[in-house]
Amino acid sequence: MKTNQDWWNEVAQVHAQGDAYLIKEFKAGMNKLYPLDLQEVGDVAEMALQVRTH
Amino acid sequence: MSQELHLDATFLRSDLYTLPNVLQAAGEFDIVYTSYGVIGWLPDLQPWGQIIAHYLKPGGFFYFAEGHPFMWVFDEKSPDFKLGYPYFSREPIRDESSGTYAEKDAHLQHTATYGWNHPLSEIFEALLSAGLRIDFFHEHQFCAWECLPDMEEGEDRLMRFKDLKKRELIPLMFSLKATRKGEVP
Repeated sequence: MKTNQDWWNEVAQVHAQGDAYLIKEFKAGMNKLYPLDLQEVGDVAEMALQVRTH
Repeated sequence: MSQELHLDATFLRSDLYTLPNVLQAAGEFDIVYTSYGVIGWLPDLQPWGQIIAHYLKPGGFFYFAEGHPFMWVFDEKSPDFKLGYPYFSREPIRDESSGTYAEKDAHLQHTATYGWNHPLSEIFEALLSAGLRIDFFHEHQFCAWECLPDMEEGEDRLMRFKDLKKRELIPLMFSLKATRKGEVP
């Protein structure tokens, strides 16, 4: 786990400075959800949502 | 981050397995959403399933979109589906790479990671034993990242094999929805 944490601590900075995660676009209001998510999850308005990522 | 993005949200950083020590909200969520390259970082899915159920309201649902475990057995550098990793092994898989899955040309100082491939049976058993009911399970010919060679990005930002015949060969991702029954565990 320590090996993975060291990797993630470095990679998070790399990803934050890169373009792959579309962070600038997201901050500007882009909806980053894929059509798959929107279609299969449906309307989540007013729901309490817990999102998990790595 | 919530203030910067003007979101009515709380962001937490935690080891998943100890999340109940950090987030006291058992049975309070309508949805738990997890997606795209997550469980490969977890050695054990039984507590993962229990924690999902722990936070869901009765009738609330878990939505999960993830790389397909069958896709994970192939060597990610091989264009002809050469087997590279075991499907059933519970042992960690060590990887060494100077780049990342999203920034392949990066030059990292820390290059080693350990991951786990989880068979579909392990995923289903973790969710079912936690008291969840599977509502649907879908397999997909696309992936949210370039998981194997010779792929192209579509207008939907999802990656597919350039060769249409290859798309028929293996699943690259799956998605499922599972609803929590009964009382809060």
